[in-house]
Amino acid sequence: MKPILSVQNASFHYGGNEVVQDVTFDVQLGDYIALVGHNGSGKSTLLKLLLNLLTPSSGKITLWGTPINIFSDWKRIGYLPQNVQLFNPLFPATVREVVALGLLSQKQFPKRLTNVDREIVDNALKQMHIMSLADRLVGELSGGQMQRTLLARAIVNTPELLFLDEPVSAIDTETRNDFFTYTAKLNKEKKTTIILVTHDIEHSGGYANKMLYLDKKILFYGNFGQLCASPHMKQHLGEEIQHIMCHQHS
Amino acid sequence: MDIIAILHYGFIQRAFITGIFVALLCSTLGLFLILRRLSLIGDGLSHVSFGAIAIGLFFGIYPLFVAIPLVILASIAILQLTERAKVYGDAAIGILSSVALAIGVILASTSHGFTVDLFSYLFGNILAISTFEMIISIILSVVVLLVLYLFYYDLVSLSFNEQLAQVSGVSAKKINMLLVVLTAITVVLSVRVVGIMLISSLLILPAVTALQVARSFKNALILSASSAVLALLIGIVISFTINIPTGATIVLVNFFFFLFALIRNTLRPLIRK
Repeated sequence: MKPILSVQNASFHYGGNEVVQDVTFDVQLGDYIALVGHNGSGKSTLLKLLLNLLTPSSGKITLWGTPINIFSDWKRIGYLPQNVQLFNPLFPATVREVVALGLLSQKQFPKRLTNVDREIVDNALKQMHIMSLADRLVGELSGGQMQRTLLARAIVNTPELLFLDEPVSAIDTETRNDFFTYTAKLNKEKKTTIILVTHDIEHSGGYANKMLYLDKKILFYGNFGQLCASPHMKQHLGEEIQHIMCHQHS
Repeated sequence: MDIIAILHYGFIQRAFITGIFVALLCSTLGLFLILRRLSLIGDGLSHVSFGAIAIGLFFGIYPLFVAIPLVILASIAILQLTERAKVYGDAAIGILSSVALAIGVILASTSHGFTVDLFSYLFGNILAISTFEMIISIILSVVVLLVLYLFYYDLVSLSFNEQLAQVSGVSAKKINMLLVVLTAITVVLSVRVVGIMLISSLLILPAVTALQVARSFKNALILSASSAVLALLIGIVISFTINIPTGATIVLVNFFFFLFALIRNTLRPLIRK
């Protein structure tokens, strides 16, 4: 089967510092990939390369066979960025208006929203259980509410490939569990391919069918069981950490 | 003086019509500039327009015809300096505005003939707008407002978050370019209304007033536009009635609107308690 996302020998450096080194991997339709690694391992940078927000210093990235630098079919993509708290709290948009922006990728010039779009937006709000917040300003939301709003924005265009960057880093346990349950459901029922950047190996291991462990270069790419059984990863993580991580999960 | 009687004067009619268009333009564009943290570009480009108008007057060319292309070029140069030469945005604005000011001052010092004209552009005079200037202002305002309408969702998306917008297929480079070019045109059109010194206030004050009270993005746009138009009408009437400078009066009325919104916002939680 042809991969929907293919990364071949991609590298990226800021100045002289190589942040992503010679990364090669494929993503198949229906995959749920947890992109894990410690802080500064290049996870978020790699994600930005996959979204054409950064240009690789070398190597090739294709989405559905199209080189990323000329890819234009953005309606197939959903994206939840990192650090939702960093959004401008004075931005005068309601939750409904922000979620509606996720439909722009489907629109041709001049972009306009229709009544049908409004219904689609309301459905996304219901799915995220934030219908009651629809007319609230985004600047008045808590971290968890903002997270749900941005996830609703990311899924409103029913993307085939969903990129999630550290989505559970600043939210409470309950919201985190809801989040993982929802994304797993999306992956299983709608066959949405998911790439999740996280430092939470234990938790994501329960949902992802593949783990990609990055430390500038790929140290491991396989399923969670293989990660736990990998002598190479035992050496990298330390036997004790690997045992705790894998034991908790089993 | 009777307000209806004021409206019979041709120069007042021209002032109202031109002012309303310019106020609508500044207030809607200003909202995007503030949310994109680009509000200082209006200030910088107004200084550039000083240099451009001085060049026009020096060579005996109608100043707006020189100012529009030169200020557009300067706005593109600011963007290019920021993106390609890795100069910080505010520093790029500082470079262009100071160079343009220097050119304006030198030209003004070498020819005393047009210094008086140049000063009229510095402080503006909406009551002296000619029919020709009014027509140019209306045409360009309609064009800019139409472009804003056509790219409305792209602008909102980019103002909310650049990365999210890009992943929705919005080209940040193109929209940023569009925004600064529209700002350049708006700044030049505003010169006659409030003058070079006060242009940035027309871009900033109605938008920040709206941000104090708005309950949605569309609401913010409507509030920004309506407060700008209202401030302009009140400003013209007050200035004409008590014979004080019109541009400065419009700016002060805008400021009082902002102050009112700020106090309302501050007191509201206390009243609710």
